Amino acid sequence: MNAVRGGDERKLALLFERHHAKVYRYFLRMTGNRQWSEDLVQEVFYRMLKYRETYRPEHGFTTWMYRIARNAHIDQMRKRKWEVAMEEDWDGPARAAQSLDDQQELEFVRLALLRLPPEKRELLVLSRYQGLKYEQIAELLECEPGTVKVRVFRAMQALREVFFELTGRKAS
Amino acid sequence: MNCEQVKTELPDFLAGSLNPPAQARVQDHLDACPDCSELAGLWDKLGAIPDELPSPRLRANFHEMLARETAAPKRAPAWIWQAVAAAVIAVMGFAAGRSIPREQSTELRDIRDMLALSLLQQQSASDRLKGISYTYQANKDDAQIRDALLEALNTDSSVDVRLAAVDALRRMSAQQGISDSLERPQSPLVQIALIDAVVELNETKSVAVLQKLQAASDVDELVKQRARQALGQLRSKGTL
Amino acid sequence: MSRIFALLCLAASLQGETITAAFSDPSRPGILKLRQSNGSITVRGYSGKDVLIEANPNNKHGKSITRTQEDGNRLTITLDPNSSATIQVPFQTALQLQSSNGSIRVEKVQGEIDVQSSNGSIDVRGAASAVVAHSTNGSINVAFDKVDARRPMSFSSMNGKIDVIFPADLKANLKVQHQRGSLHCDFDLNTNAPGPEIQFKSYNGGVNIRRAQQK
Repeated sequence: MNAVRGGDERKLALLFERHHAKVYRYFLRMTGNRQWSEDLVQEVFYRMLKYRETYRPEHGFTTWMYRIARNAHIDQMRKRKWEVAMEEDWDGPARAAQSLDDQQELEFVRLALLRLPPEKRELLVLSRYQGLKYEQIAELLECEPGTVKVRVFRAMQALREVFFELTGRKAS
Repeated sequence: MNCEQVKTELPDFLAGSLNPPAQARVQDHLDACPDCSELAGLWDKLGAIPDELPSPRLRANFHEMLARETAAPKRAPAWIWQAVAAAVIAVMGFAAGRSIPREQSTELRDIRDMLALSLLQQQSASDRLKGISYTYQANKDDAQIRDALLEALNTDSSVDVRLAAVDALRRMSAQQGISDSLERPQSPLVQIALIDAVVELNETKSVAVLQKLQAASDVDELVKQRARQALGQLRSKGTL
Repeated sequence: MSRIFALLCLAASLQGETITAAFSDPSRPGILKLRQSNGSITVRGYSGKDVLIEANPNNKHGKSITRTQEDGNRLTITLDPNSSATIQVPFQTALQLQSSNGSIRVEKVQGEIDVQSSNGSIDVRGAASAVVAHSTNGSINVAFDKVDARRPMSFSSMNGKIDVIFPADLKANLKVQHQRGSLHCDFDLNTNAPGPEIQFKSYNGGVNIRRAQQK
C-alpha cells in the first residue's frame, strides 16, 4: 500500500485482484443487492486511490480498507435512507445440491440477517465472514474488544428472534 | 458452566480461538443446553450460506476507472490502446524503431511504454512476451518499466516470461533486482539466465549470493556448476 | 440484469465417467486452467461448446474427485492429485496447463497454449495460435498447422530436447539460445525479420526446428 502512496497506481490493480471479492461479499451481505454492491466496491477502490495519502502502515491495511468500505456504505445508505433490498429484488445464490428443507432454512437465515438493524448486521458480517479478529473489529468500530464480543452475542440473539419471527419455529 | 458464563466465551468459541480446556467446557454446556446450542447452530448456518462473486463488469469498470484517474493529460484512455497498437504495428512492425524520425520517436515511445505495462498484465503468456519485447524501446533508466520487468521476473507464472524478463532487464540498470532475484527460489533455467546476466553486468554484489548458491542443498547441480563457473569469471574480470 | 456468478462444482467420478463443465458465454473463446501433480493430462479440441472431463484415478479402483470453478469464461479444473485426465474442449479454447510429474498432450486445440511441465514430456499437435512451453526435465514436441503472425512464442527446456515443426511459409524471427546439445534448423536464424519473435532456450537438450513437409 505504501507503493500506491508513492504513486504506483499499478499496485492498486494488484490490491484489487486480491481483495475485491471479499469487499463485494461484505457489501452483498450488508445490502442484499448485487448492483449496489458492485457500485460500492468501485467506490471503495476509487477512494483508496484518491485518499492514498491517509494510509498509515502502522494501523494495518485491512482496517483501513474496511473503514473506507463502511464509510462508503454509510454514504450510500444515507442517500437511500437505509433501505435494504426487498426480498423480491434478491435473485438468490446458485443452489448447491441440498435437501429442500436445508435450503429453505439457509434462505431464512440470510433474510433474517438482512432484517437485522444495520449495526447488529455489520457485527455479524464482519466477525462471521470477513475474517476479522475481534481486536481488528474493535479498532474499526472504535471500542474495546470485550464490547465487540458482547455485542456479537447480542446480535446472535437478535438474529434468533428475527429467524423465529420469519419461520415461526426454532432454529434446529 | 452456566449460560451467563458461556455468553462471554461463546464468540471466542465460535471463532475457534479458545484453548482446548475452555473449548471443552463450552462444548459441554452446549451439549446440555438447547438454548445456547441454538445460537451456535445459527452461527454455523450463517457460514453455510453460499458465497458469491461479482460479475466480470466489476473488474472492467475498475480498470476503466484506474486508467481514467491515473492518465496524464497527453495519454490516451485504455480502450484506445488497441487501436493505437494496431496502427503502430501496421506502420512499424515489431523490431522497428530505428528508422523513425526523431520528432515522432518520443510520442511513440510513450505509447509503447503504456502498451508494455498493459500487456504485462494480460492472461495470455504470449501477450506478456509481447509486452516485454516492447520494453526494449523504452528508456534504459525508466524505473516504472524496470519495476514491471522485475515483478514479471519474480512473480510471473510462466518460466518463458520470466526468462524473457531476464533478457530485457540486462539493459535496464537492474543489477540490484537481478541479484535479489537470485536469492529467491526459482526455476533452474531462470537461475542460470540470472547468473549469466550477473557475469555480463560484472556485478560485485552478487558474489555472496553466488557463493551461497553453489553450496546450497536444494539447488540443481547444473545451476551450482554455473554459479561456481561464474565466480571464476568474475574473479578473472578483477571484480573479487 | 443477467445473473453471472461463479459456479463451483465438485464431482466424484469413477473411471471412465465424464463430467461436463460449461463456460459462462459459449459464444466467446474460454480459458482452461489446470495444474496437476502426479498424472498425465490430455486435452483435445472438439466441436462442442462444453468442456468434458474424464478423470482416471491412478489406482484403478478408486474414485477421483474433480473440482471445477468457472468465472467469466475462465474455467479452472482441480483434479485429484494422483489421477490422469482426458479433457475435450471447444477448438478455440486457450489453455494454461501445468504438470509436476506427468506428461501433457494437446491435440487440435486452436487457442493459445501455455504449458509447463517439471518431469514429463510435452506434446502438442495441430497448434494454430501461439504456444509458450517450458519443460524442466522432459522433451517438448510441437507441430503447428498454422502460425498466428502477430504473436510471440517461447520454448524452453533445461534437460529435454525441443522439437518444433512449423508450416513451410513461416515468416518469423527465430532466436535460439542454447548451451549443450545439437542445434538443427530448416529456417534462417536471427534474421531480425518483421513478425513475432519465436525464442528457443535450451540448456542441456538439443533444439530441432523443422519445416513441415509440403502436402
